[in-house]
Amino acid sequence: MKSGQFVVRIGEEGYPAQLAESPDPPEVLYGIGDPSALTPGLAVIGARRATPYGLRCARLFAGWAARSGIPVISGAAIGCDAEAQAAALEAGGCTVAVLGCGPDVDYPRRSAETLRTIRERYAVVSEMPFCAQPTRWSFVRRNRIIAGLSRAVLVVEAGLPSGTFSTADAALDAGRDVLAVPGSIFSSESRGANRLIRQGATSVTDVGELAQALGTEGRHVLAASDAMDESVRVLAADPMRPDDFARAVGIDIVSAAQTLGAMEARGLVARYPDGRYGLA
Amino acid sequence: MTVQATIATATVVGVEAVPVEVQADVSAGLPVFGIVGLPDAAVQEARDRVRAALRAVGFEFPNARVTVNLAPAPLRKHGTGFDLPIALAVLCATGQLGAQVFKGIAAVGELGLDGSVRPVPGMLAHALAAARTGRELLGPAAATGVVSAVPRLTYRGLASIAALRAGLPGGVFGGDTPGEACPGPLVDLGDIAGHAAAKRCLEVAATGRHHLLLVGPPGSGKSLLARALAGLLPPLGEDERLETALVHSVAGLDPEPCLRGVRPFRSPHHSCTVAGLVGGGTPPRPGELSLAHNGVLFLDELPEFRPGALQALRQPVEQGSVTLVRAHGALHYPAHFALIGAMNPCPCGFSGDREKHCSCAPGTIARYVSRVGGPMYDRMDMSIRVDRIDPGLLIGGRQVSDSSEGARERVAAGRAFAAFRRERLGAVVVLEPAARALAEYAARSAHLSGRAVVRLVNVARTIADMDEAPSVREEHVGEALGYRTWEAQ
Repeated sequence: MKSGQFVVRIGEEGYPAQLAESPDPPEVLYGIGDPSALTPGLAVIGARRATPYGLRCARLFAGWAARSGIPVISGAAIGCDAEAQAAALEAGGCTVAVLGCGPDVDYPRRSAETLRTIRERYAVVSEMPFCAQPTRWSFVRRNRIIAGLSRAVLVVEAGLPSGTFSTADAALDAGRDVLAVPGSIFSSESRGANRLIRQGATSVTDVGELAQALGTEGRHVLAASDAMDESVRVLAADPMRPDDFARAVGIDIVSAAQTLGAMEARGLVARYPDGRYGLA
Repeated sequence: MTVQATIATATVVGVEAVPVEVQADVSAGLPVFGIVGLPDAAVQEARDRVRAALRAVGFEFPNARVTVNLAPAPLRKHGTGFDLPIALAVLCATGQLGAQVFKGIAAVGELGLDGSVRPVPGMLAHALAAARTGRELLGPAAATGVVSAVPRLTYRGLASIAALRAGLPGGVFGGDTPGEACPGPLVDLGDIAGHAAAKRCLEVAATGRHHLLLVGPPGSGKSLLARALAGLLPPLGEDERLETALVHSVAGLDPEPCLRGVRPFRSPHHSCTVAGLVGGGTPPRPGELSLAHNGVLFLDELPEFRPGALQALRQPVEQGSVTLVRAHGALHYPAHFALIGAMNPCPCGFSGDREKHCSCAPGTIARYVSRVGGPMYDRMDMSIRVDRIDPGLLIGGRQVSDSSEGARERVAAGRAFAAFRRERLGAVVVLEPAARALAEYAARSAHLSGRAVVRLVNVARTIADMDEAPSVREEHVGEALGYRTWEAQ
């Protein structure tokens, strides 16, 4: 087996638990990269014929998820899928591609660059063996794996009819949440997403709503270091100014300013109008 | 009988001297002395000074019709610098001096009734104009020291017009740069007890030339800190010296300290008018903004300034220059300065103070704070809260604290690295992924304006420069976030 390639069977160690629990899981999962990247993530999917609106939504929500430490799962298809995964990579977060061909095949060609990066850093998986060429039906089949690997599926843009519906259906079968970004009622490219909302999908219009839907705290998305936790305890007991804080914790003023700013941005502490820092 | 003579001179427009020709015509007729060519009142008065001065030193004022024209006629002329060229033109036209002598020479200077030649505002502008047009300059001897800073100029200093009888005075060829001399800072950081955060903030502001707002109760040391900033900046560079001195010269102030490399520190009182701040009046004079060019402009008690004066600051702060449009044309003054504002957090001054209770109603505080205006707060790159320090620190004798010397070195190193980085990497600011994520997240959650985001990134870049880091790291953005402008609650 070439370097980075892995093959896991259902029931074996390394086979993603959430996928095994989904209905109709694939017997064998072929992949390249790091199998530990296959943790429950957010599937971001959408139309291949994407409008700038769809691309922006994909970028916004996938970027946010990646920064929040939630893996972005998608199919690397042209349009919304590729945009979501590129945004996740740019944000420095984890993203997993599920293909309808062998995991080593660059399809679609336009996503080759993105796929290469994902293989190096995270994982590209498929139920098709290595070197298998894509077929028409294999893409519909792979949609159930996308749904199976994720904890929720976010449809950023979909027309009518659309392939994304099969992923949404698979997600419902697997008991995953279906989220959709509403679009203009005049846009034919948004009709599918709007219909999903009418059928009961959760509408998502900003990252706060997405965080809520995923059950994560929107504010604590940037990881806090141990030093910060310690500082929060100090400031919770007694809100103070940077000078006093530096003295209390025993660090120089530059580090104090840097820590306080980073903590404030994370929403751990807030700057009061009088210049003191305290609990948010 | 008609005799004419022409002497070259100049009049100051903005910070530039525009060449003007003084033409004198002496012809038979009633003994009238007239000046035409849009002279202002000061130029009109030249008639009496010239007549008295010539007689006082033994020259003869013609008992004939004397007409002086200042060409180009449509340009408005002002100031007393026309006295000397008018006197020379009259002397040449009457044959008391040879007109040949003044070929290739421009003259400027005010005359006393005793014939003495005195300096006028804008001597540096005149010197630069003469150097540019390849002329020698004849002017007051008292200005020789200042004018010698202008390269490639021969200056002939004249103490009294009586000396002209012996021919032109000897010339001094300028261009030797004055020696490296930077006086001690106005206030040394080492003399300020406590305020570690504010001192760090001053260093960052000095390194990146960021506009800074200090907020705190009265007597907490805001003004002292602002004065200390001027001492953190490196002395004026070679080309900055002449540029800065030029503005001072045109405004009639002593350009000598600027020529020695002392950065200007201007702190106009809050009763300052719009014209006093940005420049204007008749004749137009550079305002405090331009006098602070390449230096520090300190506005103490910011909300007490007239709203009009503060709003007039907005464009120059962005642009680095002032453009005044008047009926007779547009004037440009340089105004590239570091702005420091200081204000109390509320009318009584003690909002947020540790011990003293604030007696202001919430509405009053909001009104007080909004007097400065959102756009003005938006233009402040950094802001920091300055609090009254523990009296024990003040009374307890000498405080072990870093002097300005160390801070000045760090500022110089940061500036040098910034220049090196700009040369190697261009002006693009490179943020590491974590820094980028933090900045983006903060911008989104705090709804920062586009300008505020740019300022945040610029301040973070300066902090990274002080660390000599080629790309901005997360902690740099973190620190910059702490200096975000203090807004109205």
